[in-house]
Amino acid sequence: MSTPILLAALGGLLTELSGVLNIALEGLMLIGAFFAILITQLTGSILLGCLGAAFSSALLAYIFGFVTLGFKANLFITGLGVNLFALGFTNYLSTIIFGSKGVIKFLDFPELFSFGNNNIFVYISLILTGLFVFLIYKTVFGLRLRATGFNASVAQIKGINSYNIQMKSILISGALSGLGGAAISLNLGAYVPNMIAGRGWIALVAIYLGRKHPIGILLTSIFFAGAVYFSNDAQGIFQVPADLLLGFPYLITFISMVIFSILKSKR
Amino acid sequence: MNFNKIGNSTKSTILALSSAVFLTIILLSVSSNNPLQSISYFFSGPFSNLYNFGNMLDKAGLLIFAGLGMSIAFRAGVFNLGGEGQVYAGATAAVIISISFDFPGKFTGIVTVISIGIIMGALIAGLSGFLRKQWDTDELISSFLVSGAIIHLADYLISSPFKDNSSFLNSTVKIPEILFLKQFLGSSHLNLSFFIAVIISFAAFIYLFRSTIGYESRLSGLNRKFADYGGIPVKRHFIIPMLISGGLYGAAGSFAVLGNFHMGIKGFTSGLGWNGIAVALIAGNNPAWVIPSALIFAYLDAGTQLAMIHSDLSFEFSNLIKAVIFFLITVRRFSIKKENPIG
Amino acid sequence: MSRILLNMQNITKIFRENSLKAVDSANLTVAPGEIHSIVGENGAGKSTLMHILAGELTPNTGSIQFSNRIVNFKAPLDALKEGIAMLHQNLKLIPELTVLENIILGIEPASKTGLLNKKEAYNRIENLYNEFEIYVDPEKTIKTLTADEKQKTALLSILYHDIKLLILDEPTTFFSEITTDSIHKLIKKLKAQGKSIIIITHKLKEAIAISDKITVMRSGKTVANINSSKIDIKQLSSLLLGKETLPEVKYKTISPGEILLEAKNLTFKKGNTEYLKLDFKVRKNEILVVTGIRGNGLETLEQILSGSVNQTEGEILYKNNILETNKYNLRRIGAGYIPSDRINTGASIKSTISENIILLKYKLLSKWGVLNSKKIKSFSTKLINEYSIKGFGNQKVATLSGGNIQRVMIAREMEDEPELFIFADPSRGLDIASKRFIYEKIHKLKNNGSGVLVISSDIEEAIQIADRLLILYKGKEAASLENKNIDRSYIGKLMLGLGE
Repeated sequence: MSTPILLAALGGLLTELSGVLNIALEGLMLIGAFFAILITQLTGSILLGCLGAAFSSALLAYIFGFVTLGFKANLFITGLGVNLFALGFTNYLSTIIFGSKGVIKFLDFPELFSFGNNNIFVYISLILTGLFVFLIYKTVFGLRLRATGFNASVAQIKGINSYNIQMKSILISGALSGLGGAAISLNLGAYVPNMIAGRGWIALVAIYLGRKHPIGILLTSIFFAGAVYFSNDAQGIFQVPADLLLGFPYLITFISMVIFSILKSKR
Repeated sequence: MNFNKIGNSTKSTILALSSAVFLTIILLSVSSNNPLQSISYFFSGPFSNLYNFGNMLDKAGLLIFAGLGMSIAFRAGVFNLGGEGQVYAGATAAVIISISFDFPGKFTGIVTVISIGIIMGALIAGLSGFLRKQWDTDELISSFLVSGAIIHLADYLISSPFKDNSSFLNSTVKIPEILFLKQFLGSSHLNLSFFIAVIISFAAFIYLFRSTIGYESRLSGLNRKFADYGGIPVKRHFIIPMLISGGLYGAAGSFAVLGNFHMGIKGFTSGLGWNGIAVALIAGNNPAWVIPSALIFAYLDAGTQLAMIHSDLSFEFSNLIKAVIFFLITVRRFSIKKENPIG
Repeated sequence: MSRILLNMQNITKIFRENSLKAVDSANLTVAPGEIHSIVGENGAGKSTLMHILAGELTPNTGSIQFSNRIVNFKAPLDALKEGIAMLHQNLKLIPELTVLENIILGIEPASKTGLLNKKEAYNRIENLYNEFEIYVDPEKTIKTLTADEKQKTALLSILYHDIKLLILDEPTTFFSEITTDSIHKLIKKLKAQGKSIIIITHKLKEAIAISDKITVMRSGKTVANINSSKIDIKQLSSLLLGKETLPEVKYKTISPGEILLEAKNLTFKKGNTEYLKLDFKVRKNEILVVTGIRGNGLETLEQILSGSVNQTEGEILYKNNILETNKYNLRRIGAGYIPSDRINTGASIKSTISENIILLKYKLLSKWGVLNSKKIKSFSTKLINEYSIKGFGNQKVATLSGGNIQRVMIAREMEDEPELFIFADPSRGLDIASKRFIYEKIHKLKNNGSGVLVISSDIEEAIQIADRLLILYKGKEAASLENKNIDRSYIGKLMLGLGE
């Protein structure tokens, strides 16, 4: 549940720490979701599907990083560009390859490996969370990453190339967002247009609410997922119309954001 | 012309637009059965008859509103990412008011409806501005999230309580004819809103570059510390630009309803929010350039639509074109250098 | 030893923005195990020359030979690899990271997998402590350190490497007395190890006392290279100032008027540390200079006055009315204020000169909310001429030289002849002509009835323009004196907390 958000948020955390605010998470996840389904269907292997998802999103992320860092483009605008591109491109491929812009679902689609109630993505994301704590605070890469984010010019003097570090974090972010998207589509076994439904943005907020620490992000992701889960339940219990329900994640995230800022300002 | 003398932002605008055109041509050639015909529809379609031309101008008018809204926000250093929601909310509010009340006169009716739309948009955006002022909540993300929620709310309203059950579309009933904006170029949708948009852009220019409030806004956007130090009430300029920005988006939505759609249809204004950002960027966030920018964008948009209709293309690539524009238009360095040069 | 470690020849550096020759055909020779001072006035080119040596700037002409090889540094890391390191005045430390992290950044000891080997770093730091007696707790974050500890961290960062040549930029200006001692010890130790040290300083006495050789710089040129044992302060001084000394300007003296600004028990405390506790008065027709070593309360004072920080106790009175501390207080009383943070706060570099210059006046230059472009144009033209600003009204400030940007700020703030004027670090980084210009303007203001409060850590400047001096040490008043026949070294001592 919280897994897609968590995966995307962890990747976004890296870029954030390196000084790059990544609002392209939503688009990157979408690309991942699409390619996961596409490649899994073509090869019959979930593993290849995941790799394909991670790779394709990382590729798009590379373009994003290249244009933004290399050509000094505005980070927010290029991020929006990524999101638009993802929408357009998945639409395009969907039409060309599957002949349809709507839901893509196959018979005989491979099932996701599960253990207990949780599918494999959940475990991967938990492992990654722990790995990231380690990566950020105990490795050379992590130190340089944080240094670049805090003060890129001082880091530069120490011989650290900010372009390289930021690019690496952007690529990892792309791969993880792609994986997050794959988690959504492979779990469902189908590709639904607009299936990310704002989770990329929720991941972004999760980074801040989680105080930019992997464990914090884990907790906020679980919280957000819980909220969305509850709202799905609400459909049954309170007879809430479907359209309103779709808006609920946005609302929850928004309210959390506001509460967080209020608390922060009082400190 | 000395290439170096042209400003960086002009360079990137030219780069972005030409790439967009280039990409359009490629996509049309690749996916169409008759590339030459598609391409000719792309370039000349919008001018081929009064209907196409008028519709293009009509769309441009709406884009002017949206582009002005974004320009004013950008100049104040504030990021309104909730355009989609603000337009849709303004439009939906306009529809609901139109079909729910009886209006005695054309003028009062139209003014009321448009005002409601403007207020809706302004309030939504203003909320994010207020949150930024009060608690330093990032307005980029908050405006997007609010917009996301509002879009679904509006979807619900159109598809459910206000739905026209006799129609197979997800739409409301038609708004009363008295509120229709008069169309005056053949059967195209071109109406008064285009001219109002033009007038508003002059007003926006005067506001931004010739008024004291505009000065305060711009300086707050360029260097908030400096504006603060000079005694400019910086906090005001989180809220005011958002209100204006949202209001203009809301206006675009209401004008779309009264002049074009004449009813509410689920998702009918979708894209206008993002297009507004594109138009503002192409115009260099300067109201003086928003009119040509909107015309260019409307032209490209109309051209692609017509090319697609006439060539049996089955997919929408407007998002791809927009993505290319977004990627290239803020580029400020034109040589490849991976290290920061020193000294 | 007759070997040469460093030979800089014919080095020239021109900065594009103001086509000023910061360094003009300079030469420098240093032997191994030599302590070499470079002395000169502000703007003589000492720092620039050393920045070139340390790999931070590239020279326009000239060559550098180090350890018998010609070297070409493209980045500070190149110089570091050769064994040349520079300790800056503005320490290049990252506040959010710990001492250890700052020290090892870029050369982190690690395993093959990238895992940080903190133990190795700890050991190395301990060795340094044993060798040089400089210690800071490696686990503390820079943010939490005192100014002294930060300097020590910067030193440790450098000593962590294998250094053959150490460059110190004004090392003892900002240290307390205790640390000054350890710096001197460190220098002697390095010399004993055969390492060389270059010290940039304007303290002539210290230069003579501690160095083997002294190079004098003036207007970008290296004018002399002497043995320290063969010269005394008077001779050194005149070499420094040269024959082109501008005659000392005698400023009119006026008796001070009524009290404009008064601070009563102005205190700022954070946790257990008292950063400021002060009383003072600024009178009309008077220039009060508050001076001291950086980190002794000057910054805090400026922050409180400008309203960005609230005092914890005490009050400020303007014309006997209590001044509320908020961001707009100075503007409300119509005071002029030029902050020490020039580029970020004092100017909007992306805007035009006009837009910058009308910042305080735009409401008056408008009617019914619309700006009057004619009036604005004549206003900015008038100021551009009056203050000799080299630029046009619609030119972007980013294209101006530092001195000109300063003039824009001064024009804006002084134009109205405010009764109270607060100026932080007036001549920092400026050439002599601009300095002269600013001092004249300040004096003019004072003679016309204003009260001027200058906050500056530059002793020379303080002595030149003050009517009264207020010297801060550790946030408290060390002395309050009239500026008559004052001994520089006496003031220096007061700044270091050494009393009467």
